[in-house]
Amino acid sequence: MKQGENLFIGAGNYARLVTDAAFHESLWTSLLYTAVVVFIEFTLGLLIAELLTTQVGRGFRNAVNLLIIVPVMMTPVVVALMWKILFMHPSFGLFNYGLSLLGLQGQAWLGNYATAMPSVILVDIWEWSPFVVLVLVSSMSGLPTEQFEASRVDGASGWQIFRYISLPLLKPAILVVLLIRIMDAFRVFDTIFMMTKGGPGSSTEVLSILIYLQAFPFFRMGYASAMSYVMMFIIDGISTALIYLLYKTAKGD
Amino acid sequence: MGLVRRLFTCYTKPRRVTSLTGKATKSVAYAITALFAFFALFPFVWLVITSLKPAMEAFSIPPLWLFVPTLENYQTIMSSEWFGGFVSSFANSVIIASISTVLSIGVGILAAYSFARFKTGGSGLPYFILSTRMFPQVAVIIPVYLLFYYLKLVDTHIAVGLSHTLFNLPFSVWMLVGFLGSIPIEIEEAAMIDGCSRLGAFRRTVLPLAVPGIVVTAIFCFSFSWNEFLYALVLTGANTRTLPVMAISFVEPRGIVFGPLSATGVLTTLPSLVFAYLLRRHLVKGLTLGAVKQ
Repeated sequence: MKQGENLFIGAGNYARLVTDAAFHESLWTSLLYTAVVVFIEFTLGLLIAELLTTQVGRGFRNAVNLLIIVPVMMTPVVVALMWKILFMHPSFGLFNYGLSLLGLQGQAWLGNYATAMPSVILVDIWEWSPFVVLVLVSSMSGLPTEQFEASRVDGASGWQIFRYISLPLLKPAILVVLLIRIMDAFRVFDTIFMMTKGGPGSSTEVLSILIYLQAFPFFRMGYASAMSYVMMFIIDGISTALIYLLYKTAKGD
Repeated sequence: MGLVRRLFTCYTKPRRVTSLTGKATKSVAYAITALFAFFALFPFVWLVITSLKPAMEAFSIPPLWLFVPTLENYQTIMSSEWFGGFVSSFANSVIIASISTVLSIGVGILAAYSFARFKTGGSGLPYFILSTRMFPQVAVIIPVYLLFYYLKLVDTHIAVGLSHTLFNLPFSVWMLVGFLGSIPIEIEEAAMIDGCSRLGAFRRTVLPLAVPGIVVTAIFCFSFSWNEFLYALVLTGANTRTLPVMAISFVEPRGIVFGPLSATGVLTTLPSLVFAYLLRRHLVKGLTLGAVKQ
């Protein structure tokens, strides 16, 4: 940092954001990443949690619950390295070895425009869908059983029980899961930074990465700070909306 | 009529049919959930297997399935000149996580006590504190960096420990409010009638009862700090590099480092997996900041 060159430029940094294509693209990347990741993790997690609670034995459920803690608690940097080197490495990775067994051409998974984004999304899904399962299983097994028994006696199908009894009772837990996942996915940094640094090009450059790259290698602190504020406002808006919904449910609607 | 039919169908045992379809659904359910567990676990298992392969074979393609397990990769990273120095990074991680844990619990328990007993700041203040746990870290990394830069604290353990306290303290307050709130107030009142001051009653009655909650919260704080990457990346230097930062040196590997890389990965992540196992009953509570109880 050079001292004494600090000029006050008013809202200049914010004005630049409005027209900055890189910022728009990055914002779009972040929103897309968040939407895809949360949607898949939530759908998959809900399915697995429902199966674990209603269809399998208690011992099996506890065993699965214990095993799937691993991705959630692993150090994110190690998660990224593990996937990048052991699985997605172009010449030594397990993915390309698998493809070669099928007689298919290997990919530079994290080095291609087409595959980089799906690859980092896959890693996020691996890391966090167990979290969704853990939370939903623990709140599903805490549900009161009377309504389930009553509906079964009345002849409700499995789907009807799930749709009209489980889901409404689970609403608070579902909102908490969505809140936490949306916030964490929107601010994701560690895994993408380790795997692609936002590349190739800017195909995986989510907001956190863009801000970091502006602030540290380039020392554009003012501009990076302006972007940080915009990011905070977006996340604040989303979380306030979700917390409002949660509060409304908690009061009982 | 319905009742008669129900009785009748009971009598002719249609249950066999339902239990047959039930059996089919159940086996599909077992298969799907087992597949999911395999998907969740296999990459880590593969990491452990790779770390136990002889260095020259760790990256061979096709992968080696049968080999004599060896600890040579672990020996390699233990010799201190390897990359960033595994041993010193491990020590840095322990120091920094300890600083952050002690600060978060020490300050957090007092704040939590005040929230639990006096409703300090109404309902707004606890939520504000929670929101500081939730915001994007990259958004505050610039002021935090500049602060420590001007204080000439960059590349010190205390700076990184303090920066980790930024997210650990709100967590600790939020968790401890839940734990302290479940301790009956009558015990303190009795202690105060017997002549204890407010703080004396806190120290003699509340604190001993809160020990399990404090331990759980402390282990979480330690884990979060242990796994943290961004603050550590920006604030550490040669003297304070933590394990996640040290792991960057493996990002663009030459073939030979596959074994040491895997060994580093296993040892970096092992403490937090051990903690997760110890915390398994409280895991969901901790990961949802107390919002979902197990």
